[in-house]
Amino acid sequence: MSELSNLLPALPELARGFAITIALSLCAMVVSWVVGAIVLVVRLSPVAPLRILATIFISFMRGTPALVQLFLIFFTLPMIGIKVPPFVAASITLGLNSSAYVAEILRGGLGSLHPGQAEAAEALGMRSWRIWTRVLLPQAVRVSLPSITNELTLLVKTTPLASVVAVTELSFAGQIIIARTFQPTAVLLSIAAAFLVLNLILTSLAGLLERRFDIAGDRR
Amino acid sequence: MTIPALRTEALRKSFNGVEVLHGIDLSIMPGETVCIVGASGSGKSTFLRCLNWLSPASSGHVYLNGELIGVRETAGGSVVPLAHKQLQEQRQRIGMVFQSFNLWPHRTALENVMEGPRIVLNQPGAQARATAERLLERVGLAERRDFYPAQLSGGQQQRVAIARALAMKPEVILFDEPTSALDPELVGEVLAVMKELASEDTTMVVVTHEIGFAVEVADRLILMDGGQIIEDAPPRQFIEAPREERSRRFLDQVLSRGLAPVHTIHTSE
Ligand SMILES: Nc1ncnc2c1ncn2[C@@H]1O[C@H](COP(=O)(O)OP(=O)(O)OP(=O)(O)O)[C@@H](O)[C@H]1O
Ligand SMILES: [Mg+2]
Repeated sequence: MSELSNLLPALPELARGFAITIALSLCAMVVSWVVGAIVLVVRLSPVAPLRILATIFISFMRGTPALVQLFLIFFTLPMIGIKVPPFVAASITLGLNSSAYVAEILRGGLGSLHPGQAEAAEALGMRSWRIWTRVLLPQAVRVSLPSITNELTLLVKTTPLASVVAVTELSFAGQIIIARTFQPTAVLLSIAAAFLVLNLILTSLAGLLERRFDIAGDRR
Repeated sequence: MTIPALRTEALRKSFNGVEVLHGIDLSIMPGETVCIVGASGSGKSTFLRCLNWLSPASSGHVYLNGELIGVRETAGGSVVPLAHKQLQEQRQRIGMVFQSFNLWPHRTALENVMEGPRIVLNQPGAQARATAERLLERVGLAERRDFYPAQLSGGQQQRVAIARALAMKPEVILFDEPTSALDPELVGEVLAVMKELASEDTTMVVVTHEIGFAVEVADRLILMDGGQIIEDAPPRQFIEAPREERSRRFLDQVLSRGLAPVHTIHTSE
């Protein structure tokens, strides 16, 4: 018991780490969604060079380690005069990395839509960007929600990577406390529990969304 | 002299070098209902899709109330494709109803009908909603406005799709086999709505296999075969005294299957 009471003073520190982990996850998710949707649209653009660019982006992001990508953004960008704070560098890297997967998942979802969906909007005189935002993307998201949720839980679990550029997220905060208190098991279990809770919240939110879509009576 | 609501001039269409429409000239006057019949593969859908440029013609012209569709003539006299923005503005004036309805499954019946006025025509929400409610009532679906497409029967979905097209107040409406995907007992309710539209002098081009409907409702009945117009006549004349041998053969085939009359069917629930 006395061992655990050693940890009590460290609780605020862990809580701060957890807050940073949540913030990092949310920021990376926003980047992932927005960039993912854009990459998808570019990937399917009628302009060949744009398509190729998107394809290269996707294979680079999926084919190289996230750690290397993070270092590239954190250490290489300052060399050309762009200074990126660690938290921002980590959000961008994790987000970009995940966006490549989100784009490919959405592309799969899009492929399952009937071509008549876009055609009906086209025949009505809708502009292309509206067709994307009103007809195609909402349905692609809906179809691929389970896979996207899966990708987002992976993203949350990748956030400890930010510790390599000294972002004191939950796992890094934990390491500092372990070094001071020599209580690895208790600290690591608390960290694991925190991640688990975060991902459980994420999956149940997604489950709620899915059920709402179901009420809409999707046949696919 | 009135200008045709829709006119095609030497319209040709090829897919990968294979020509499927061989120069079609056709004029449709305002208020006319023109039904197009013909065997599978004769080019009916392709022709209809050229009319709103969903499928751009390979050569020839389409005019909507005198205005060239899909292309413009440059000062030098050559013809170039229109910018997408302008093309979409033209398409707002041509309604289309598809065989597979193509309603958006993530929107309710009302939202499907409102989408055009609100998003394409930028009408205020309240106005778009009022229009949509009125149109759903007109196709007998006022009670179903908050249902999603998957919760509606095929006939109801097609009536929503017709309301969606009407919401844009188009100058012409194109129908591509609007009842072919329906169970036989649901065909009547859709045809009844179309019949009413025709009686209100909506300009309509209807590709259909419902010869009974065509005979009863159309001002002109057109037979297409092999990418050409074979016969173009008032339906009675078409049936009783077709000029072309191919029309006679087509009629023999169709009439041997029986000519089902269209009843006026209540479209209310
Ligand atoms: N996108 C396309 N690519 C290649 N060929 C096509 C395409 N669309 C139509 N065709 C060809 O054009 C011809 C006319 O087809 P179309 O769909 O217009 O016929 P249809 O009269 O509508 O037939 P149906 O009654 O079966 O609907 C057919 O030979 C068809 O194979
Ligand atoms: Mg067809």
